[in-house]
Amino acid sequence: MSHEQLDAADAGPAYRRRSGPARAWSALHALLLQSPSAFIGALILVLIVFACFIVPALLGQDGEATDLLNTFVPPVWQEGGSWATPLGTDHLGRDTLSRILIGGRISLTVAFCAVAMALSIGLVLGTLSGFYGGWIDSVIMRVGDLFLAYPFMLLTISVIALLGPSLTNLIIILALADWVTYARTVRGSVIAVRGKEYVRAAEAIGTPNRTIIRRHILPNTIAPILVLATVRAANYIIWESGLSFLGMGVPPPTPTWGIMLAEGRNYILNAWWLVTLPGLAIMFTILSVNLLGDGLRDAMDPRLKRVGK
Amino acid sequence: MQAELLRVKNLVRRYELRSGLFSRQQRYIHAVDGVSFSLNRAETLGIVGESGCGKTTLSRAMLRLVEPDEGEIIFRGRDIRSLTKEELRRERRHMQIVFQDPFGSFNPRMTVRELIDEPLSVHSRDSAAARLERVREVMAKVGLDPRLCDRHPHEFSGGQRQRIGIARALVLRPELIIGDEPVSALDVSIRAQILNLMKQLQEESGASFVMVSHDLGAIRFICHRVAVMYLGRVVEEGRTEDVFREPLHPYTRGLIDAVPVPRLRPGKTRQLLTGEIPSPVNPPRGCHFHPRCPLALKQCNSVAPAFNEVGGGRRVACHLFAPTGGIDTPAPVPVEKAGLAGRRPDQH
Repeated sequence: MSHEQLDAADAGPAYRRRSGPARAWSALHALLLQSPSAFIGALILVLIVFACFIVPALLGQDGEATDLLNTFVPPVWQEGGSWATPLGTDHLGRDTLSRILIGGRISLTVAFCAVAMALSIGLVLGTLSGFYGGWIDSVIMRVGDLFLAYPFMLLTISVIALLGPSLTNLIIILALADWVTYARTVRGSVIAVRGKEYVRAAEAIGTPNRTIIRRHILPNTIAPILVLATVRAANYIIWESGLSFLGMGVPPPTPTWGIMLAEGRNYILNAWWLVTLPGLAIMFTILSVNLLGDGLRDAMDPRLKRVGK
Repeated sequence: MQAELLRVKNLVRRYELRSGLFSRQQRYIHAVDGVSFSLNRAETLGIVGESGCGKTTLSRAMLRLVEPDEGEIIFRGRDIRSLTKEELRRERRHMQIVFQDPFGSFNPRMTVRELIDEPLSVHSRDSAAARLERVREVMAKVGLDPRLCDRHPHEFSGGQRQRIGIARALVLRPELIIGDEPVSALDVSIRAQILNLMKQLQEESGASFVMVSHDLGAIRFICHRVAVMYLGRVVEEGRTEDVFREPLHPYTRGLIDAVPVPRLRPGKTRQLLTGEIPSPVNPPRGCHFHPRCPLALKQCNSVAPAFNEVGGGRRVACHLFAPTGGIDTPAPVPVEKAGLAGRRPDQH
């Protein structure tokens, strides 16, 4: 930062601490200025969440009602389409639009909860491992290796066989299978930050370890973790699709994007909308999550903070 | 004023060298090899030496930022090495350090206010408002505009950042402040300002300073006493003006003579050091300095010289100044001493 800017700001405080909605709004505004792509990502994501969690209730449909007289109705803009089912129907006459929206709930819930769970486990264990090192590190990392060595499918099949297929079990499986990824990334960044002079300085001051972790280590490790979390969230949507496809995810008739892909696959030649539309939904969700993640990483780096445009 | 604050006795810090997986032979680098000194209240001690002589390790070992392997550190009447981790953590409020690198020693996410407040938030029970008041007060004292307290360190220049570092060390009113090359990373023009500031703050606060540096000018300006280190050992210690006016140890003399002088006074010669500083893995036997020493005696390559008091609060580790005159050369001292003292190196 140049001296002109320093001097200009001497006239008054550069930024005051605001509270409540004003602060949230200014944060959002800053995000828009700093990273338009993150803003677009956030916007799409909000739209998707709104559509999935609010709109089906307004439409009054649960996506499970069958209508065998109206199977394979194409979307409204194609010949034979109808406004009653704007995105067409499947082989049982179920409305594709409401199924995509309801399915989105499941996919988003799975992605969000699995990230939250895997991240919490990974963050705690990775931080302990990286900060304290020694035998704590060895134990945690060897347990992690154990989880990595265990094939994902085998883990899934054993847990499903034990507990039965359900949304909760699916989330647990994803978290169990993936916490090591977070733990290792966190550990790596923690070790990198731990060696920094400012952590040494905090020790010299006499800052207790947990304060050092909270104040110095975590804020400076969070950027790569955040990006990882968004990338993994996208993965979970795909994994959920795959597991549901194999019958190990959420049990039918509850729609999920994965199940819709799996079922629609059989009719891909004469009913393109059954696979393409859920596929697009997955794509847009993942895209928006990734855009948001990248933008947040930049926005959280104080060195990249821009004043104005 | 002569009350003793810190006494370091035979401090040793060694680093193990791992030569190979199956190698039985343990090899060590003695970064700090039996250093002793004492520091009075309100006194400034300079520790000077070439790169790699162990001065930074010494400064960190004194605070137990690296664990010493042997020796005692008596600080405020207690041996710091015997404290538990928690006791040590509490004791840290009385001893602070200013780091060399004003870029790396701050968390980039914290504002200046948070940085300076950190020692307070850890050690003081004052309210947030009282602490903020103290932060502003200290900022003003080190010459920073308190209105800039919500800025991040990357928005400041190197000199300003070192002021932040000093403010941070000062905020708890510690009894001991260690400066680990505090001005080495700064431009020459800024260096003088920071040195002036440190000197002034030291005089005002009555704290004791230990200033570690390779910069003889800085040491000379700021320090009451100076200790010269060579390969992990202190070779000479004394009042700054004495040491600079009449360096006794041949190494000290070489070090002082190495400072460029615009115009050498007629009749003065310089005794420049030759050779490289030997590897600390395999230091020379006897006096570590003997391979480079122009005045080496017969016993210098076998017997390590004791650290002897030579009067006036000065101590020298050199056979030339041993009270008995060394082992097999009786009393060469006066002659050599006269020869060495022939130059006045203080007219820069």
